[in-house]
This record gives sequence, C-alpha cells and structure tokens, in this order.
Amino acid sequence: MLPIIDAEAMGYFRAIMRSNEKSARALELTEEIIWLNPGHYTAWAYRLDILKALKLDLHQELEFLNEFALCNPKTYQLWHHRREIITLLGDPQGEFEFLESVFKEDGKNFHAWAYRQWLLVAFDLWNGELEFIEKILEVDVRNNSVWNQRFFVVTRASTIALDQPTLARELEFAWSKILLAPGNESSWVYYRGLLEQFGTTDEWLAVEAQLKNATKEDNITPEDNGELLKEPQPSLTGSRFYWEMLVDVHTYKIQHTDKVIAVLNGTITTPDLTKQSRDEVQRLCAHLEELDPVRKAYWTYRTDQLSVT
Amino acid sequence: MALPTNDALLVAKHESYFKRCLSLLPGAFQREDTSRMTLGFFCLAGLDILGALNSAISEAERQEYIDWVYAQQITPEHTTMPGCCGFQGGPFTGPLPSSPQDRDQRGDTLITASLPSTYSALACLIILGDDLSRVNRPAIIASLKALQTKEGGFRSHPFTNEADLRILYCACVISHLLQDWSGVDQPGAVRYIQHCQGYDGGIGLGPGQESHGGTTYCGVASLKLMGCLDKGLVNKAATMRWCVHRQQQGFHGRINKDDDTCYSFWVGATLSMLDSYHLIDIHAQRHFLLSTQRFIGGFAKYPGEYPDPYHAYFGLTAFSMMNESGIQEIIPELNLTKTSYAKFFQRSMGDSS
Repeated sequence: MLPIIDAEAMGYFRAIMRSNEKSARALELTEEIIWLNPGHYTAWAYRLDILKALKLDLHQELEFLNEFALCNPKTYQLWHHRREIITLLGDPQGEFEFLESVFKEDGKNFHAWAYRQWLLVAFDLWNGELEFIEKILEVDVRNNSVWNQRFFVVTRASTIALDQPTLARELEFAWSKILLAPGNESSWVYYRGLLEQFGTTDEWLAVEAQLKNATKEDNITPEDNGELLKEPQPSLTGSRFYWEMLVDVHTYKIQHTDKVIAVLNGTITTPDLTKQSRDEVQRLCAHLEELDPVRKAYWTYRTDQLSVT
Repeated sequence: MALPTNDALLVAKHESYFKRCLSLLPGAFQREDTSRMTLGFFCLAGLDILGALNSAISEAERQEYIDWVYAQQITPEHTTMPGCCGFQGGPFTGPLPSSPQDRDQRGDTLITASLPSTYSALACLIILGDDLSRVNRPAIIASLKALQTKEGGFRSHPFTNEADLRILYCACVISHLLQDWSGVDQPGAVRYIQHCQGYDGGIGLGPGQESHGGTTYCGVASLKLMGCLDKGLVNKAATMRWCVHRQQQGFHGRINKDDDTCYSFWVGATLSMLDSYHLIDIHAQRHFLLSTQRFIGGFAKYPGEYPDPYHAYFGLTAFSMMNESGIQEIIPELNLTKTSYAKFFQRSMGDSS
C-alpha cells in the first residue's frame, strides 16, 4: 500500500542500526535520514544514543538543530530532541536567542511556545518573561500564543488562586489592549478567562461598570494602529466581543443572585435582579444575532439557556 | 476554456483522487515515510466515506492491503522491549526479525510500533473488512500500559519522554476497538485531559498549552470513548463556546488564525459530540469548503493550494456531518463510517457467539 520512493541512505541506515554501530559516520547518516524525513523518530532516537555513547560536543548538536529548525520548525521530534540535549547540558544559555529566531519566522509556532514553557519551569527562568511578552504584544496584539503564555506565567500554571493585586493588574492590562483593538478575540478571552477563574462578585460588577462607562467615550477608534493591527478594527460597541462580555456579566448575575445582592447591600430583590438580567441577556443576544450572523443559532441558544437555568 | 464553476461537491473526482494516492503517492510525500499507515488511512477512509471502497479496489487489492497492514505488526516475536508492540507506520526499518532467535542475535534495539500507527492500522483493517483476528491484542494492551505516564498522558513509543493528548486519543480508540480498556488508567487519563483545558474553554496539546482545534477534538473524543463526557470536561459550556467561535466562514484551529479545511472536522466533530452541530452556519462553511475543493479531486488546506489526502478526507467528513447526499455518515469520536463500524461490530459479535 502506498509505495513511497525509498532512498539509498535508508538502506545504509538500516544496516548500521542492525550492527548497532555508534560512530561519527552513523551520526552523519542519521542527519541524512532526518533531512529526508524529519519525522523519522527511530533516526532521532538513534542519533541521541550515538551522541550519548560517544560523548560528543552537544553545543555542536545545538548548531545542527538551529539550522534544522529553520527549515523544519514544526517537527515534533526536533523539539523533543532539543529538550534532551539541553537536559544533558543542564544549561539553557542561548535558548531564548534561538527561540527569538524561530518566533521571527512564526510567532505562533506552538512547539516553540511549549518548549519555552518547559525552559521556564525546568530552569526557573520566570523573571523577565512578562516584559518579553509585552514586547511581542506591542508588535502583534492578536498573537494568541502570547496571550496564552501570559496566562501561563501569571498563574504559574496553577488554577487555584491569584492574589488580588495581580488579578487587578492583569484585568487592567487586558482592558488596555481591548481598547487598543476591540475586535481582537485574544484580549477579550484573556479578560474573561481571568474573571471566570479568579474573579469575585466585586470584580464582575466592576467589569460591568467599566464596560458601560467606556461607551460614553466610545470614540476610541484605533486609527493610529491600522498597520500594527493588520486589519481595520471595529469601535468598542461595534465589536461582538463587547456585547458577549455583557451577556456573560448578566449570566453571572443570574447564576449568583445571592452574592450580587450581598454586594449591593440588599438594594434589589432576587426576582427583580433575575428578571432584569434575563431581559438584558435577551436584548443583548438579539443584538448579537444581527451583529454576528454566523453565530446566529448560538446567540439564540444562549437566550434559550436562560429558561433552563 | 472556462473552468467549471465550483459550486458542487465533485464526488467522482474525489474518488479518483484517493485511488491515485493509494497506488502512488506524489513524491513530495517521501517525507512521510514513517507515517504511510496514516496516509493509507486517509485514502481508505476517503473511499469509504464516498461509499466507493468496493468499486474502487478489487478483492485481490483489498486482501493485499490487509496483508500489508499486518506485515507492519510488531509482536513479542520481534522485540522484548516493553511498549514496542503494535503496528509501525511502514516498513521503513527494514525486514523484521524472522524468529525469536533472529531477534536475540540482531543488534538493532530500536524496532518499535507507535500508537498513532497502531490506531491507523486498526482503523484501516476495519475499513477493509478484516475481523482483527490476527491482531496480537495482549501485546498491544501491554504496550498501552507501558506508554502511559504518571501524569496520565501517553507517549507514542518507548524511545521518547514526550507525552501529549494526540497520543492519549490514539490509546482510547485502540482500547475501544479492541474492547479492552485494561491498558489505560482512565482516571489518570481524564485528569490529564482536564489539565489540558485552557482558560478559554478549548483544549491544548499538553497542560498550559494554547487551545487548538485538533487537540480539543482529541480531549472531547477521548472523554466520550471513556463514557465520561459530561463529568470529565471541566467546563462544557466554555468548550462549546470556544468551538462556536472558531467559525469565520469555515473553521480555524486557534484564535486569530485563518480558516483551514481540516478544522471543519476537528471543531465540527467536537461540536457534534457536544450535541451542538446545529449551532454552526452550514452555508458559510459549505462556501468555504467549495473554495478549497480542487477540480482534479481532493481538498487543500487553504483556497488555491494543492490538495493532500489529509485535507481531502477531512473536507469530505464535513460534508458528511452536513448530511450531504451520497456521503456516508461518520461516527465523530471514532472517525469511521457508521456502516464500516457496524459491520465490524457484527463480525466481532459473531466471533464471540
């Protein structure tokens, strides 16, 4: 089935594997194979064995990997292999520079981001990471891989708790990026993600106020950033994400009436709060059906969900 | 001469496309020598979803393919290393040891199957109408045990330390098709999937990683196969929302990326498992997919690019989920047609009675 042209190199490689030869020429042969077929996991594994057995200079191996990564940046095995080499070296020096060269070609390479996360954890390199992230977001605020990295760094991959000052700082940061590009899903999703995982009722209500106040001065059309953002941006109220966030705020209120009433010092009754919020969700979803026709059925669904909860 | 307008699914063209790929892949695919099994799966599954398997390949070819798949099986006859049994992606490591004596004499220690190839092999055999009677089940189950990590994820083969969600999905399909889950620590697998769910509701390749359409599918399908989709998902509403937001016209795999044919399967099938396929805009998706369909048959990743078997197959699965007439219905979590799966199920019931 599926005959694929075999290479002469493949024949030599099999012979060398059979005799279990660990030599310089065997190493060279694995290189040949990997260039022909970057996903050849056996060749990668054999290469690592040879490097270990002959105690070869691993810095030289990194140079080979740098070159290889330029041509085959999305090969899983390449990144696995690199981890092994850096682990053997016990020293991540130069790795961030290498990653910069990869990100220059593709800022969303998820192998590279996963590798970076591993470096942060394995060598405790958290310092300076937020500055690095901000630097990239200044160039491309729509790069979702960077937003994910920010969440990873801020929460230290923990979902348990986030201290209040950090949460406030992050909500503020996301909000500033939302104002810069209201049509950017990444910053909205980050904003909501923080709220859903760590936000208290106070924060949810503060968000509602922030959203409503912002429309009063909704002339923040990001005309200066046209080139930076690569596509024309809607105004805040022209963005579907703005209205969606309001739907979420009201859904939160319906699901947490007791907490909301406590914060409001009992100035509203449960039935009133529920009715108000339901009406709002209905109105907002109707607007979204117009604004975001591809998801029309979804917005109808969100309205229908209210009668279920 | 005017080119034909691209407003219909070119069923006959797709059939001949898969036939062509099956008999001789374009040279560019030499890079895929280790994953021939998976490429074979896309071609056979493509013919199957078109309902064209029997007309496209002869009985002799069918038998030949089955034998080729079995020839890639690695058993304890070939290796004593834990985790190596199953199927390899093709004969790229050369002839396997002919006997245990030959095995012990030979110096090569890197002979191994991989879980993605094992999954593809079982799927190919089922599509080809085989009853899996020549599969060494205990050896595969033992491999699964050896390849699950303490975090609950799975490695592809024993010569790597890397585990991820794609491989966990392969382990789940293998267990389902062999009707034996004893090789999988299910609570561990569920925990691993939960750690992969991101703050946006989607699921990443590993804990902390960016949500991605392919891995969201792997997570949700694995939970479904383990029978704990409702309890296993950290936040089902958030996952559904994340999926629904991946539609521009067609679907894309990550936030702020371009639409790509294959995500009409990965994200669409996920929504289908979450009973929410009706929430997508069928017309917009159809329009996008017809723009990636090629006149010579097949689908490309993006409009204007060359087709490949992977995108050709996933393009068709989207038409299947949209109930296109003439296209077979699929089981989203297994990525197999209902017809092939039902026949397989009948065959395996027949065995046990």
